[in-house]
Amino acid sequence: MKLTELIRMAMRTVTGSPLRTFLTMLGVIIGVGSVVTLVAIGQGTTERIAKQYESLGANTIVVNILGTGRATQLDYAELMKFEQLPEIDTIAPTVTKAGSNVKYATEQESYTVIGTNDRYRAITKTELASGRFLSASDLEFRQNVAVLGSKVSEKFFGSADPVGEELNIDGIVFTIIGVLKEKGSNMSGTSVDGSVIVPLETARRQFKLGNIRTTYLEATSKEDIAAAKQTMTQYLTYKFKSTSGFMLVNQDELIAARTAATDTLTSQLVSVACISLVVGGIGIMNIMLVTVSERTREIGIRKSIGAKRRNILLQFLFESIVISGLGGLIGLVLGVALSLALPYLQPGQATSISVKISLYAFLFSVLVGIVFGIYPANKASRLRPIDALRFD
Amino acid sequence: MAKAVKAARAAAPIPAAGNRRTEGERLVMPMIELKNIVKSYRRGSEELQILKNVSLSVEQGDFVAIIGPSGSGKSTLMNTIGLLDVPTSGSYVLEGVATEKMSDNRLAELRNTKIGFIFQQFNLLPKLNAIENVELPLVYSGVPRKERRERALRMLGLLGMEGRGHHKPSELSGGQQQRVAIARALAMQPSLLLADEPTGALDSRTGAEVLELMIQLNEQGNTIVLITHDAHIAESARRVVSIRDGQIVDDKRLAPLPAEPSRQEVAG
Ligand SMILES: Nc1ncnc2c1ncn2[C@@H]1O[C@H](COP(=O)(O)OP(=O)(O)OP(=O)(O)O)[C@@H](O)[C@H]1O
Ligand SMILES: [Mg+2]
Repeated sequence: MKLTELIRMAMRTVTGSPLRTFLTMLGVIIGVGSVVTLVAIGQGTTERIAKQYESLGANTIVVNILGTGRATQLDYAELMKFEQLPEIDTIAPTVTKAGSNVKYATEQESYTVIGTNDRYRAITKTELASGRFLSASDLEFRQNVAVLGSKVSEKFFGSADPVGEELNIDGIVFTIIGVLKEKGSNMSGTSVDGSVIVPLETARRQFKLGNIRTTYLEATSKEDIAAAKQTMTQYLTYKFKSTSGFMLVNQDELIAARTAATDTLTSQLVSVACISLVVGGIGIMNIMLVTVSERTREIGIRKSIGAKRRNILLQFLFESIVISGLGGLIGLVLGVALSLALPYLQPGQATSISVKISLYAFLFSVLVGIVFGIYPANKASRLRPIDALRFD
Repeated sequence: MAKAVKAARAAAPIPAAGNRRTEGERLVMPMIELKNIVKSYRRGSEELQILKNVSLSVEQGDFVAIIGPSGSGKSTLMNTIGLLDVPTSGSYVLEGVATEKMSDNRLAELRNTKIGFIFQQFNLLPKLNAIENVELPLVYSGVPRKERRERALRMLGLLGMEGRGHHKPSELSGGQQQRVAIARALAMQPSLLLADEPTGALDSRTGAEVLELMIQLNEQGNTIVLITHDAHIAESARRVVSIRDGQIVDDKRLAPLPAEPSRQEVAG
């Protein structure tokens, strides 16, 4: 018998009792659907992480101070002296205050205030939309000036240029000197777009922010990264009298670490989904065995008019393959749909569909149909015609 | 066919199994040659013999009725002839080919091409319509779809079932279902038609119609073996074989074999 004949025959039987078929394929639908979705989430997250860190230069090192209090306090002037070393190009220490109340006219909203220096924009590779960024003199004279993230500017001023306007942050008046272009999330996950950037010392004094917590450091070249890290490590170890109060990471490391964590999680979730596929296969086998015994008489009739063992075997095998393959296809469609919908349902969740993995998941579902269909099909094909005919 | 005529054609002796009989100038070998067929089932320690050394030959073109009480082994014999069941011992030669050591595949092929089975319970596939049921043997012999459909429709037409092709068995009367089953049995133009109480599930009028059909098919050259309980039906056959307790107890010829042994095709 021809392949098309077998598939047509199997499709008819399978669609003849839709509810039963649907319930039988549910395991496979869920299995394939979750593999596709989970991989899309994993890949999307990895890609987003990579993109985030790409926005920092390849030579950027992030110094995070973990402890609080006096023991881990950094002095701004002392820190900036390291710029004189050949391996270090520029340094931008930061202090941040999340949830600052920003007010303009009658409107107010909660935003993050970042206190930093004039190097910050270059290191984070952020573009100006209008006005100017912080200058050395702004820092020196502790001016109450602010550079707005794109979202902040849009919230209060729409598309108008706010440069020269005055803004109230936690009760203190700041003059707007510039607006940044939209950027997306930065390295530590906070978005520059939703921030107000002010001179470091201004932020520390006005908002009573204590220690410098995150410092961005640009090495002179790729080759200088190791040396720069070593210098900073020695300095911080000496200063804190401990190696545990700080953490130095550069872009490659961060991407690798985050990606590895995501990949591990994804592969664990995918294994669970595969188990569901196998369980789905067992469900198919169970129903196929029931089908074979229900249709013993049919098998007898078919054999009495000339069906060979092979014909019966293929008939039932194809039914099983069609059930699992159709389930795989439905799972694939649902998984893709869910992957595409997820970023809208859950803002901040990036997804990226892997064509290769999706295809594998579908092929695996077909394989499940073959593996779990072969036993029932073989059982059906072995029935002796007379025994099958007598059965009711 | 008048009874007087039938009686006048006295029962001809059955040729010994394996013998080749000349008829006119031609050498004719029996279509079916059963020799010392034993069929037994084991029930616990005792062995139950259903067929006890049955030998039977059937010539091409003959119409044999097998009669006997319930449980005498008629269906068992028929299933053996139809290659649905294998005997415990004995030899069975179908159209000159020994069937004992045949593979499953070869047996399936013979069932497909040489034998048309008609059952008391019709045995149609309930989910398929009349055309698809008739097509089924053609599917297994690899006839292309289009030709299959044409042949099935032609078969149904010959049996007066035109216009019912798309009906499911459940939408047909018993007589109509049996006509579909006969069309299916004839679809491959087999050498041998086997009918196990084909009228058993039908009322007397439709039963008579089906019988008339069988007679017609035989007159067109089909070899038929038919099981019946009904003595009246048996009288329509050319030859009546009586079975009791797994043994042939009587074998009467009511009408001679047709002179022309070559078979006309029902569906040319
Ligand atoms: N698989 C089996 N195992 C044991 N005994 C069986 C089996 N099949 C048939 N028999 C027995 O063989 C005997 C003959 O059965 P068979 O069906 O050939 O009778 P029959 O002449 O066709 O009867 P009826 O006219 O009622 O159809 C019965 O006694 C039956 O019980
Ligand atoms: Mg019987």
